[in-house]
Amino acid sequence: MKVALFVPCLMDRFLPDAGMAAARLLESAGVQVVVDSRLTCCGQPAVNAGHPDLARKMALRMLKLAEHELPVVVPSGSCVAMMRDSYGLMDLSGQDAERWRSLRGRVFELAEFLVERGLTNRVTARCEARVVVHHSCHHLRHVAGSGALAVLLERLEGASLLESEQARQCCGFGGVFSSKLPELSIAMGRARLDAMLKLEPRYIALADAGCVLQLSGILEGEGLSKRAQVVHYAQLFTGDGLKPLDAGE
Amino acid sequence: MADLRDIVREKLADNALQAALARALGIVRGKRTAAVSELASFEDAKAVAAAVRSNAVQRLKDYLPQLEARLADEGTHVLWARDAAEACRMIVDIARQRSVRRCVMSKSMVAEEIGLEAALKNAGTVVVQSDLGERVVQLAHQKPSHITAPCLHLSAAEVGRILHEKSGIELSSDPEKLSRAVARTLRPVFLDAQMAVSGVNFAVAETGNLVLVENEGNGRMGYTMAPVHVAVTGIEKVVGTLADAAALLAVLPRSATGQRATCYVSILPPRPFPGQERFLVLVDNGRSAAFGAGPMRDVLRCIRCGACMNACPVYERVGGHVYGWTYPGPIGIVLAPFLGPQEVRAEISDLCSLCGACTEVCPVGIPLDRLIVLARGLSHSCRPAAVVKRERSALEWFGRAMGGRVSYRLSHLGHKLARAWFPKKLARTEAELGWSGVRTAPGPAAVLFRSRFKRRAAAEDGTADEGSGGEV
Amino acid sequence: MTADRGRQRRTGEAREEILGRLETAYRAAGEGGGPAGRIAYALEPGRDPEMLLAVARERFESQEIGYHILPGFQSLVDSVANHLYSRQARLVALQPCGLFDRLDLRHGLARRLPDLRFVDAGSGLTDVARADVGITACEAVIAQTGTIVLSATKREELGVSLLGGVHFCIATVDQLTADLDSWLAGRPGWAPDEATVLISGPSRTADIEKTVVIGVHGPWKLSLFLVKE
Repeated sequence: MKVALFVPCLMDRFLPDAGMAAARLLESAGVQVVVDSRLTCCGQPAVNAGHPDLARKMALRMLKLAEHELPVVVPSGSCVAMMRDSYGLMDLSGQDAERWRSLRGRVFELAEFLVERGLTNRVTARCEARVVVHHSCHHLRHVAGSGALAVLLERLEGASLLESEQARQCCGFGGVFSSKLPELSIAMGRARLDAMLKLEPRYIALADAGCVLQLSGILEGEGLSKRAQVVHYAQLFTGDGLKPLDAGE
Repeated sequence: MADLRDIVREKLADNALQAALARALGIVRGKRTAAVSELASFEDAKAVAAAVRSNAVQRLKDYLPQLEARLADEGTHVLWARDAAEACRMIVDIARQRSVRRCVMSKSMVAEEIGLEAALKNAGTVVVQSDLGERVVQLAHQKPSHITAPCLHLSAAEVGRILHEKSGIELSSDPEKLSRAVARTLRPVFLDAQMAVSGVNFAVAETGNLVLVENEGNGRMGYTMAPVHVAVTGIEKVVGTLADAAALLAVLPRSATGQRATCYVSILPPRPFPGQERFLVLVDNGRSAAFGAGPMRDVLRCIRCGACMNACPVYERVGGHVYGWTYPGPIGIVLAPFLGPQEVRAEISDLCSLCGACTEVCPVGIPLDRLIVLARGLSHSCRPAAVVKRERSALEWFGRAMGGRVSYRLSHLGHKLARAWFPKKLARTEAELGWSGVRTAPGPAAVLFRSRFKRRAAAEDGTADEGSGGEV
Repeated sequence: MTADRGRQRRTGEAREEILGRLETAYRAAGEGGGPAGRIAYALEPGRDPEMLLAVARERFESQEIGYHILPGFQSLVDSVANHLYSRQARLVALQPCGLFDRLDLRHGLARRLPDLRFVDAGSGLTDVARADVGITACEAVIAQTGTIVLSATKREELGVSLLGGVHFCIATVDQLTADLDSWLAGRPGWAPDEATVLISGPSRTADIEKTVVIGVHGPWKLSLFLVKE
């Protein structure tokens, strides 16, 4: 089985380890991975800021470049939601609408893909650590629910998986929101982190690059990086970029 | 209007507010979860309630005249108002013609929306709010901060102080003592008021019944005691049949206060009670504009339960006053483009991280987070042109940077170089974007994922174009 | 009444304008929506009297509704009189209704409690408001939500269940119905002058710090006397 892995802009530029982890997780499930380096951004920032017209060009480019038969796998729920649903705001017609219809049917979030194709039983990995799982909003509410991630995480041996009582509440990233009202965004993130740190995790695992940047940025800014490392869940399986238990900073 | 970011900062630093919000929302979220779990399936119930409301909204043009005819045939006066001023004028006229000195008002969001209390006061009528929370904010000269819990932003101690200073009630911070004391002060007001103003939760087109939902009994007191009853409501509050209203009653209290049913649901007949006059004022005030606004039409499904604001992580941090008008929270953001005052329309949609918690709990299936994105689009015309231009240029720049393989790599390289050569300038930009200090901005990867992936593939099988790792 | 006529003209214009806008937008969007269906509950008592009573009791308890299940009407009058006595009720308002006439409730209570006074039938609201206890019958009792269904055509009758500090309601077990839907479905029709009030507990508020306080503007005590006959 062959898939086109789309590692979106934020992950590509700021969290390449997470991208590598996504690729290697797919490969460990026996999936052949190809990467089209012409694909950059799905256009989400402009749409979420209320300027769908400015995202249109990016959407059209995405649709054209993804005009093939392969499943497109994305380790980011918000980008999947964008391509599946929000492209509907672009008044697509003719060939573009056709392309969107095709892409909608074969774009998957990473965990969602592995679960839907029944590939999780091929995955075996160990991670001897306390891991707090926090649900990324789009992954949870618009894409895969919490089910797919839970099924995948069952394959992770040795980990104690925990959830804080705020596990389903927004980390405060929200794209442009994080810049427009930074104090609010940070206050939301701080509250989630406080709840998570009480559980004394080694790793805090999320499903979207934006959420990882938000929470790791606050941990670092508050001088708490030694307490835990914020990662994309794929990293738990492959070890890419994981800091060893006692390394701290 | 002060800068939204400043107002937000102020609320974040207000420890009393933070404590009040945390406590109240913690309780109400827990109760909602328990109450909803008594339904066979919330998703199924939501589908039923959503269908009831979307059918009703879709058929407004038929239901409204049907309702009007049922009521008018039985002697209830039906008045139509295009906007807030017109609605207020009509109700002030009613009060004037009947020499109403004192009017009791039970909780009505539409009355709040149209500024009815001020209008009646200006015309010389004493207005007394009779819902406990509304009475507290009225005495404090504040505005409600929540649509079902008006003084949710206040601690019991603050409420006690307000009641002591403004109403002479013995100083206390015991909610029970305070609530009973306020009720005692209102009893003579009910007995003496010449007019009662209420809202309407559902108006039933087929039978002409007006359905009023409440817990305290103040709504019942109003329409039972006063010789004139004015019910004021938005034109969207119509449903087809009593069975439709029953379906909504199964989800409204569970979503609002986490009750199976509120203490009182009054189903008023189309014929006024003997010895009483009844008016129904149907207020448009932007609703027909929402009706004509494509997917935004769904905002008219709202049954004002407040579940969206209870679930909202932004509301949880800043409370309702930050939204700047009658309807706070997610529903306030999507109503603002049609019903909101001009100055609110510009920035209110910024108060959302698009997490979708509101959509999850909305009992009538309004896709709130998706509509908030559309509301942001509608907000541009209300913001200063220069601000919009700046935002668009930034996004255009971003679009160009992302627009091709070369520009993408160049912009990444630029980021790396800026970090090495102009760290102070970069830090300033990051600070402007809110990524500095307690939230560190991420540094650009030394090597992009895509490059690493390609290199690995090349190292593994000597080609970058075929097999695992090749391009599409 | 020129002012009245002016108002009518204005609302006439407003009416046409509002409906016009709806019509235009409606034509652009077209008809939509299908049948709504019924809302189902995790626990459906159906029609089994034992189940209905079991569910209703559970609801009453969690909603602070006192209830007394009585074997017959004879014990009913005794029970009501005892409760009035223990509450030291002096003035009682009775809802005028056929059931109370048949039971001769007023005389039954007066015989047992010679000091008890009654608000006269036909009295005004201010008299009803002076009563310590209001006693009503009801149309139905809804198990799913622990709800008493009352109806009345006059404000004075509605006042009986509202204005006193205590509300006693009398029902028979065969008035139990599963939910609001089943009650609506069983109703023959709707009188245009009849108000219905669904009561699911004594009046309450949680406006201050979300702390539940029982007894605000309406009664602080609601008791249901449920007769198995």
